[in-house]
Amino acid sequence: MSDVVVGHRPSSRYGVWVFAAVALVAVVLGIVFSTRFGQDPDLVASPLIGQPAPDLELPFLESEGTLDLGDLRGDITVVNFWASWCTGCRIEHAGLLRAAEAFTDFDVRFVGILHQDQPGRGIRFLDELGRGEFLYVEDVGSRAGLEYGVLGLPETFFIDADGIIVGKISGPAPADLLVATVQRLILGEAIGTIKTGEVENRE
Amino acid sequence: MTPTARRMLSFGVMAAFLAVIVIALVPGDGPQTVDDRVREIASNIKCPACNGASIADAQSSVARDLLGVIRDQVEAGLSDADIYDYFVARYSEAALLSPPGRGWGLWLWVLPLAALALGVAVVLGRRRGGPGTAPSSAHAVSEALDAVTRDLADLDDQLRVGELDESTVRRLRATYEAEAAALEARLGDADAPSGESAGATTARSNRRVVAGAAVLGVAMIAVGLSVGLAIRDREPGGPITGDVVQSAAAAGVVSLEDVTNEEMEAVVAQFPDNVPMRRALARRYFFAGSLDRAFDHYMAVLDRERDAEALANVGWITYLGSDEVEIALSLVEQSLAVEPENPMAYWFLANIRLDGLDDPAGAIAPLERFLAYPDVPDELRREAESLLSRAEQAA
Repeated sequence: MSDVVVGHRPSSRYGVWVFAAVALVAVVLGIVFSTRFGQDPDLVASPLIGQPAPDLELPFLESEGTLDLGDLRGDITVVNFWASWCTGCRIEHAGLLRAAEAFTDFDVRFVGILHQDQPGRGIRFLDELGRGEFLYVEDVGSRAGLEYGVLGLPETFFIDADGIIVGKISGPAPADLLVATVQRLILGEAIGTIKTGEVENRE
Repeated sequence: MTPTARRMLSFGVMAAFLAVIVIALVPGDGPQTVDDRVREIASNIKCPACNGASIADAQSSVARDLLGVIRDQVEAGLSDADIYDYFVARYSEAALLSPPGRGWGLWLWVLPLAALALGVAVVLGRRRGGPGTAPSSAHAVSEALDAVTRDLADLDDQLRVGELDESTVRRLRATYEAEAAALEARLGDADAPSGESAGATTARSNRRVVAGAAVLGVAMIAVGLSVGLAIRDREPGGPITGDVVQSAAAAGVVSLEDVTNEEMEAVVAQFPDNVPMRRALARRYFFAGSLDRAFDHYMAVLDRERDAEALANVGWITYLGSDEVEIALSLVEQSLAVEPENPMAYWFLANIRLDGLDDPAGAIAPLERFLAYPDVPDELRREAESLLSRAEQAA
């Protein structure tokens, strides 16, 4: 019965075409999405880069009084968010202290903001690993973390002498990267968002 | 069930389905109490450190703090949009759990609806041309004919057992015979040796396939182009580890006037592998005439990276301080290979060729290049002009 074949072949070929087309679209979309649009999915651009640093008044961790971050305008400021429970913070601590000490003559301020942690634990962390030339303050109610769009710890922000946030390191800041970034800032070179590793979240 | 009833039923099901979707998408009355609004907003914002859970759902202390912030803002009378904007300004649009209705987010909203519309169109299209109204393929026609023939044969039995009365049987027989005649006529067409009908069907199917493939191709090109553009918009380049997203801000420069060379030396000694400060210090020494110190620091820079400034200036120091003219020339040329837009390298190159290698013709091009830079200091410009006329006379 040749007419059966005649009658059926086009429609089954049509089905194959539709199937092939759907499969092709699925594969193309798969490839497109697997490239993650050329971006590291863990990296979220900080919309704060290029924006003025928030004026925050935060209580000192180990003494009376508050630190007004707005008062630091005119100096390059490195703002580091940390906590005692964060292992990345432990890793980067020595490098931060070395950099802070080295750049005191260059009007570079280093501020450590204890985020999502109890002051007592933060102080014990500093007793163990040292304080250096840092100004340590406490993030009451996570307000500073919110203003800086902190996604995890540690995160380090660089603020230029005009009070503009010019760079951010997510994850532990390796001493060399930290120092090179501060040097570039001192010398007036542009920097941006740098990711060094995973940031940590507290459950 | 008659075809009409079946069609109406399927339309009804489809309409009900669409109605459910539309009702689900249309927002109801806004939440009334502060608690409701806080919860509503918090459930649309991703908690920044909670594995993708919303602020409303997450159990962490950050989520509790942020919930407090949202409550403060609701109580302060901010609109929902203001509060979402506040979070987006700090965490980027990634903070929103519903994609925004613009840019790429718009596609996420439009594509499922477009796919649904396409599916409905395809189903309706098939139904209209499908076997429900008239069998289209020869095979289906012959099957339908068999069925009608069977029904005709059954009529006699049904009359005999008294299932149907005679007038009904007569009416049905007329209907069935008409149907059978129509189907036979169609089957005759399909069986015709010329195969006109079958040929037409094949041609129509082929046209459909071509049209489908064309639509698909255009759609894929559109997707490919838009993806390509989206990727190209993110410009890499920038510091150290890549992954640079933006860096438009010009850094507020700190005055280094108050910083002594000794302080810079201390930093360089402490972080010997970091180039920027060392290069800045070497430049200081270079322009202050402390060429030995500049040389040492520039060499230390070159141990770590192929820096254009260091190559050019080491070349110049080599030319001034030794008889190694060829080495000096090579270093300056390497510098220009790394960075062709360094005016001083052209100045060094011209001097080395003119006086070091006695090659006035070779000095003309770099001198002209040097003089083309608008910000050459006047003193150097005058010197370069006199050098150029000397080179042109000698050449």
